[in-house]
Amino acid sequence: MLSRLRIRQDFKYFMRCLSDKVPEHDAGIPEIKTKNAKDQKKSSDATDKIQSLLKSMMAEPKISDSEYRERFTTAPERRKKQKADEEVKIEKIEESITKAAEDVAQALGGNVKQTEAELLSRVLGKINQTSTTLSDLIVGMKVDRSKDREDPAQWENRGQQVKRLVEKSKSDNIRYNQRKSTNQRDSQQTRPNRNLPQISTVNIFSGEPLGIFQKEGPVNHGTKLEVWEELDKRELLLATSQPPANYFQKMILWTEQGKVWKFPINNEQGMEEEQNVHFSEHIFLDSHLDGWCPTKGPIRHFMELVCVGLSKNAFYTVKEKKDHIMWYKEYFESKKDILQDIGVWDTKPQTSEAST
Amino acid sequence: MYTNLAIPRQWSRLACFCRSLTSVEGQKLPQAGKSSDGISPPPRIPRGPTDILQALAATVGTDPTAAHYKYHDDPYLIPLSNFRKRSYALSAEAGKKAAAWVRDQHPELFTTREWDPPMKMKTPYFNADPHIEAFAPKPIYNDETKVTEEDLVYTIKNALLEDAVKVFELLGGVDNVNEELKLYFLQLICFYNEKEPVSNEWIEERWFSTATKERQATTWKLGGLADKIFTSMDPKTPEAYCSLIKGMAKYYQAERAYALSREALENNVPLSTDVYNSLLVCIGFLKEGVTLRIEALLELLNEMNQQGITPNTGTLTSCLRSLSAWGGGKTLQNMALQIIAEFKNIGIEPNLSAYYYLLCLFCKERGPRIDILSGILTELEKKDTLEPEDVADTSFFITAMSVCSEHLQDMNLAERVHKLLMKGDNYKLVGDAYKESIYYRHLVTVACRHAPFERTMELLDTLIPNIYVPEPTVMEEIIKVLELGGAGERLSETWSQLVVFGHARRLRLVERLLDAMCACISYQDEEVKSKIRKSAADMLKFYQMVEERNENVTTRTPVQKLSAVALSNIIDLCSTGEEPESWEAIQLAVNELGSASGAGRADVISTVATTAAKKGQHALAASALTYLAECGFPEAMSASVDTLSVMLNRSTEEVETMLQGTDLQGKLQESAMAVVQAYRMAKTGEPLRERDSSESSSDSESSSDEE
Repeated sequence: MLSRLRIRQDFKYFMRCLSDKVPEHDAGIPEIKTKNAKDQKKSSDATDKIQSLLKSMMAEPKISDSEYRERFTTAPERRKKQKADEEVKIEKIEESITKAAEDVAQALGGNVKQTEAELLSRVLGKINQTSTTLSDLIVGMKVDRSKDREDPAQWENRGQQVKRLVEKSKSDNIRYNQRKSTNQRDSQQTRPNRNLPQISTVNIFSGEPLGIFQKEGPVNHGTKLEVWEELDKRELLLATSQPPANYFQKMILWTEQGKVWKFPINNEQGMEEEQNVHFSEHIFLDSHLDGWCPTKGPIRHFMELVCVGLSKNAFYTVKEKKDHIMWYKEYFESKKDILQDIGVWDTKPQTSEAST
Repeated sequence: MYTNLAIPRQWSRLACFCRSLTSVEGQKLPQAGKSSDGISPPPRIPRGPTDILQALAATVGTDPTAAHYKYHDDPYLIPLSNFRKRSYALSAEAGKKAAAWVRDQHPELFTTREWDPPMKMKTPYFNADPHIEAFAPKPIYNDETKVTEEDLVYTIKNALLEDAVKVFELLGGVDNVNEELKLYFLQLICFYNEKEPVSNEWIEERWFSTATKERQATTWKLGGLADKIFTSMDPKTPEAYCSLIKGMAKYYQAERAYALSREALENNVPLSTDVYNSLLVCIGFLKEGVTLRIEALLELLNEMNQQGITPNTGTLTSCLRSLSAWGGGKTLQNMALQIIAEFKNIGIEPNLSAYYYLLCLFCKERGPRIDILSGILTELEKKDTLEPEDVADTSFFITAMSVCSEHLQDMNLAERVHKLLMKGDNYKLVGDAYKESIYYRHLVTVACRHAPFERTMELLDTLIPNIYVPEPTVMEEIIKVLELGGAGERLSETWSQLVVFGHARRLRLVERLLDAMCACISYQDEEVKSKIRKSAADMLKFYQMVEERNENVTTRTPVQKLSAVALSNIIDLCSTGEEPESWEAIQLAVNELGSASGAGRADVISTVATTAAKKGQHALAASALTYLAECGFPEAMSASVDTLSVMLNRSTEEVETMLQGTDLQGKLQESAMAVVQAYRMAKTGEPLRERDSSESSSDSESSSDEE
């Protein structure tokens, strides 16, 4: 029942195609072919009938070419010669493969249709059983056989071609895409016999040397541009740097930007100014008092306290500490007269040196 | 007892002797002092500040199932579409930029550490110790700023071009800056052609900036600052000549560059390898015609030799770059091979950019298919690491992959290229986000077209969606391969992928997907079938939602509605199941059919009408048939008869005779009556709606436009 219904539908499709009454609604060209193909499996007399119908459909469009040209803009004429016999050939291939598959499936028993579809798909590297893709299979076979199958428009006659253009939205797209995909697949499948002669391998070191430069000789790159080279490096680095992909890379980036402590961790990192200063110079500041400070008395006492304070200051550099002391020196020296009057300025370098 | 003790002693002595022997004749033992216990610690290896971090980073592999590191802060926000990825990353960086802006605008807020003694404030800004340059406010130079030569050095070192120009002017321009600084400054402006380069701080911005291909046109600023500085220099040093020639050549002011190089030669100014390299690139702008150009190229190389200047890798790259820019053809290709052989002779191997230009030269879009890539890959695979040497190196992988996909169409080669890219640290050569996505586009395309199904699926599973989100064209390829592979489950998942990737509104893709589902559904498992039905119903819902939104909000590009074919595909898919949801979807779709563009698939609709009648959904059957009849499908008649026979539970012959009769009014229920009317409409062949014919003709035009 169901199959009969389908056949009837197909005839209707077909009739519509031929009559050309409602070409807009015609979405079925792939279905026709393939549903027919499907039915072939089922009843052989139906096959014959459809076969002949198909042929007549493919072979001659109902509207003559001239008429077409009048009504539609047509694509320029393409290779038309081999069409007829190819069409027959294709049908034969299709028929024979399907037949063979059918035989095997029958022999195997069980789900005949399923087995057959699987066989066909195996042969052609596809699994699809449905209508649209079976047409695809047929197309694939065509390409396998004939060597110069580049153009999709080639295996349809003008009537179909125009119809395809006129066809509504999607059915059109399907066919187009399928054809595209088949082309691609074909190029893959048939590469051994079609493309191999085309791909020529080139050995990159096969050329003859020009003989301009000598191997030996002093290396001389000429004038050097420092800033230019730096900038070149910068651009190269920028071109190859990527957002960090994990935390470690982020740390690397930050380290390079100078935002975090460098490994190995060192508390005095970044304090380059004081790097080569021994700690004793920070702590033992009394030596800076020698030569000007009284050896005893309130000023000496005051200055010693200043030295103790400075020795504990972690933020001053040695030079700053020294400057600090020297500031007091200058201060006291400017007040020398008063200090001597009250008797607290009593410098005796000789004795102080002797005492130290 | 004693003897027992003595033997071990002897042994240890022997061992000691052996050790001393090895240290004498074998490898140098690290420690000079041989300790008696035989323990010799290895010598200290000096490590750089990032060595440990790099070792640690190397232990972290890439996890394709996880989002990129920059996205994983909040799982809810992990972006999955290209658009969202981009905006996420850029937003994150915009925050940093805003912070930097505040810092730069208000440097006075960032001048000191609170615990610093007041006397410590010796500089106006940042007296933090250690001083961290990256966190410090950037100095702003304007007309009031007091600048020193140090500022000029600072700006040149950091490639702050506009600031450098400002400082240069403030320092008194060409007349008052000393010659050395002037030379540095000249190099800077020649390098960038007086255009501010991108900052190196905003890594995401650079990564996502769509790399506009550098225009091969004369962009050199004639009579600009560089020219002025050069004229003011006296005597003109070789460095000055070199910078100016290189600058001009870099920005394709070829004739001037060449003339200047002649002038330099006349004045016996020593040029450099780099100058010749840049001149080699410019030949195409000086000469016309392949023969003349090749002559000029050889002439320049000979001149280099005469001047006693040693060529380097850059020379080879420049030659090939020139050759590849001159078109294709046997002559140029042979020339390229000869040049490579020449340089190999003097021990210079081509680098990645040289290979890139080779690929450009040999693999032309419409040219003969030449496999030069496999040789190149063999060479590159021999190397442990690929060190970037030239900015063009980042174009190699994307070009190689496009050659695999379009020129050679070879999956094995594509896999080799991909393996090479994934090796070690090579991934940094992929370029930026734009190049990366093109690279993957080619990889996925070649896999879809030329790889076995399983391999393709494996690749897709690794790449999508975290590493790569397919663009619509690639998505189409994927749908195609899923259809060919008959992967129903994946097809049903594809819909949710489309939604997530932001492609759901692309009608073309959705319709393509529906086609694929229709083609595959018949041989899927029941479970998969129901999944497919669900996603088909969901598509319908999605588009209805979109339509509602379209009505409420006027957008610039309203989303198209599903076409009638798509709707009939949905009907087709949903009618394979029994769930009430599917039938609700069918009901919806049938209602939509009337207002959809194009004509539906008559076979599907008539089948569904019959099935609906069988299930007792007479109203649905009636509306489906009415649609068929209104569109003028000839199937309408037979379908109406079939449906009626199911509805009334009579044979088709009986129904047909009944339909011959005229007076049926009142005898039948409402929906059956509607079917009868549909039948009559189809029989008389008068389409009720003119809309159909007019619309179909306009549709045909639009579809032919698309072709």
